[in-house]
Amino acid sequence: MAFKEDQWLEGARRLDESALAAIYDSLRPELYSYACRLVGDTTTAEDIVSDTFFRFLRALGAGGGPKDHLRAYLYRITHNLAADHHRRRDEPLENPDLDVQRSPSAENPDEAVERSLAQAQAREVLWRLTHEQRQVIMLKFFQGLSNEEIAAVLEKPVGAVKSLQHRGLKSMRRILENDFAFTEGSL
Amino acid sequence: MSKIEDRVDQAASNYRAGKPIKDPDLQSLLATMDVLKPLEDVPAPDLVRSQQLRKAFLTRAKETLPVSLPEPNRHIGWKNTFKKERSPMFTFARILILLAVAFGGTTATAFAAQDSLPSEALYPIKTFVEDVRLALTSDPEAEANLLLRLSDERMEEIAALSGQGLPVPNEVATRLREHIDQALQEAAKLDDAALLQLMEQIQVRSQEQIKLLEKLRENAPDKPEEALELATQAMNNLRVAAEGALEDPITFRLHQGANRPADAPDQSGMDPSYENEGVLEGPGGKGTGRKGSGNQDSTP
Repeated sequence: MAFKEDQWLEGARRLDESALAAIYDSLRPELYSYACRLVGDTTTAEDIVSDTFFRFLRALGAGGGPKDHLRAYLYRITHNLAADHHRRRDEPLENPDLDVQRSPSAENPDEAVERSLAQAQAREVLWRLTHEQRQVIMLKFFQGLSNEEIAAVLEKPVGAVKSLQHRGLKSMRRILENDFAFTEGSL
Repeated sequence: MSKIEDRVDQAASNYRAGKPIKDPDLQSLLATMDVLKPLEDVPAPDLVRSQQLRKAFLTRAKETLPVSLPEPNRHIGWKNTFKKERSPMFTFARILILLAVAFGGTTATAFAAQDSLPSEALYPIKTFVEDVRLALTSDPEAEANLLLRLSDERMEEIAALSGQGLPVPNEVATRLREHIDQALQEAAKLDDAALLQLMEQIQVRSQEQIKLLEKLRENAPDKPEEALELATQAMNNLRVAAEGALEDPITFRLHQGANRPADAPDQSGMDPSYENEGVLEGPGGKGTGRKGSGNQDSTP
């Protein structure tokens, strides 16, 4: 994707409409899924992604924006916006958003509630990690980015990504054992 | 990097590929990821809304014209505005500071530290020297001025770090907020004339700083914004407090936990003529920002 990204970025800097449309169409779906997993609400996730692209535009208009690694740059903005949203939200995390639980198949209501609670718990664990640990875990395990791509998102060396991954997993285990009464066998 | 991190990385790759992990410790560690599995499924977005958002993006793209980046301003306003008289105490304090920092290095180090940024090794010396200066300043007016100059210093650091594309540590914003809180407390000890003069200057300056913070956030949308948000919050509190003090100094003092000076003039018939001064106009027009002392609620 790197070559294509370079071409897109070149076009984006000229505010070329077709380049911007190509960037939007190609990267919006994965940024949406990333945001949705982080915030647990489809409308908010769409808003975050939309805001991500508007900020990208504003930066381009001001002569800024990424010099390279466009995808990583957009992931960074999306994560920061999701973190801002999380900080500002008033609702307690125990109050799961039913929007995410809506399934295309007619799901049993009990199963839907159970899934909803499991998602809320997963997000609670996730948001207890540090900013960078959360990014590594999400980008690696859910968004399928390579260590090199994650390194570009974090603007850190690959070695640091591996360290963050290790520390993130250990933190998650500690959180689960200490605060969610998970035991070795239940994990 | 230690070997364990490579092994964990390999185990993570296996976990993602659904391959078995032989090492029981790593297997147990990766099993924690099972808790996040409910996040795998993501509901599809609303198609109509998605199309609308795409259209809005492309429309905005057409309207966006490239502009040249403005030169970043160096913010030295308070350095001049709040310049205080050099008292003998100040000179004494400087000598003490230099002696104090000499414990950990040379005089040159202390001076060199004065321009350092939070990302640099000398920065703790800079903040140490600042703390000593504060400890040696006892006059409320001098202390308020010093604290406002220090808050200006924090703003310069934030602008410099953002300009270099470096993350702004939250500690810088926290320190900024502390300077502001303390400056307001010291300002509350001043007599009415000194208080109003200081608050008029603060009001104008805080608005400039808020604009600067907004610009910084716009120019670096991919950087974590928590510190900038905290700094904006602190500056907003300062602006609101200044507006409150200009409107009602007594309530301001009560809010800051300070008693009105015994020699302060009677305010019952105070002429609010300062309201006519242009510098007091807020972004929303003359006097808009000062309506209601309810503003005090958000004063730290």
